[in-house]
Amino acid sequence: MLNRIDDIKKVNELVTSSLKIGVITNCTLTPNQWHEEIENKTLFYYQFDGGVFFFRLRDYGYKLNYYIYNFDNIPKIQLDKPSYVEIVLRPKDNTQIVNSFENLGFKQLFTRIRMKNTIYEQKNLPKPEYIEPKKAYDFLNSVFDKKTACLPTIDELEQAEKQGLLLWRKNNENEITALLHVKQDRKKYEIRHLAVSENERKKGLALSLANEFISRFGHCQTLVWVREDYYAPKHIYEKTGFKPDGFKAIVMSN
Amino acid sequence: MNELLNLLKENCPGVDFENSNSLVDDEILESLDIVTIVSAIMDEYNVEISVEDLIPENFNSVSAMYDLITRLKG
Repeated sequence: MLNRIDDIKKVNELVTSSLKIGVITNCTLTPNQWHEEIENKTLFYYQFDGGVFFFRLRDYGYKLNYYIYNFDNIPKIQLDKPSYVEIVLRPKDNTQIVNSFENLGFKQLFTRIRMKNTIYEQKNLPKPEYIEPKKAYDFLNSVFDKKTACLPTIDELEQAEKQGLLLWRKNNENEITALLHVKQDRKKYEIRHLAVSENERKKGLALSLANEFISRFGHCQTLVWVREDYYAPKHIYEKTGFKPDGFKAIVMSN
Repeated sequence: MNELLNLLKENCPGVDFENSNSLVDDEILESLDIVTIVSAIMDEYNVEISVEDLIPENFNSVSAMYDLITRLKG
């Protein structure tokens, strides 16, 4: 039912044929990300008269990206694995796409909201303490659900570490107890993950990391996506000057 | 370029295309807005834009978009 993509030319053909007036998408993959999926043989597609679905294979199922220009023709596909889709809605967007996925048997798991920071003056601080990217990777994988959390690769964490964008706290045994991972995208930053190990919560670690981030990077525009139902991290971001900007992401699965 | 500017204004009303050279970097345009713009450009100018061209540098300003179209038209 799904066809694997082995060449970037196929991606171009599928995307180009779907870029019609009125098209909507949740796909923000960079060229490098497309190439990586193809190289890893994890990219599949299903094209229909109305758009295309891209399926990125993971060990738990598929991550689904879409380009849709005709909502009347979305087919019901039988898949051999669970699929997860994240529907990003700008403030001006209607929710027709959510209804379409519900008609395909997808259920809403949760909603994330996007928050933007208040801009502060820059403070000069020494470089953060070194953290081994592999340890950061293992820590994040232990705290977050990989099906819905968009976890980074070790390479991405190495890059973040070099840029001083991995902030962390440790216990007396030098084990990570809390971690903040930030990604730089041109002039902007995005807080990708803020994690505290389960037995270290309610000790102010997350707020401490968020405050450190603001001290280091608060002079730059920063975004963060946070689950609407996660009141503790939302509260921390609000305390450090972040406010919702109207963008939402609805995570669904079949 | 004026024709392109009119097209952009029609598809993304309220965006100040004339006075910004950092439309994407300054978040005047979001990545999802780029898809709207690309569809309009492809339709109007009969060019094909590949995923490798869907990068912020090509949409940061009207002149960058104009250069992209010119390059694609050969």
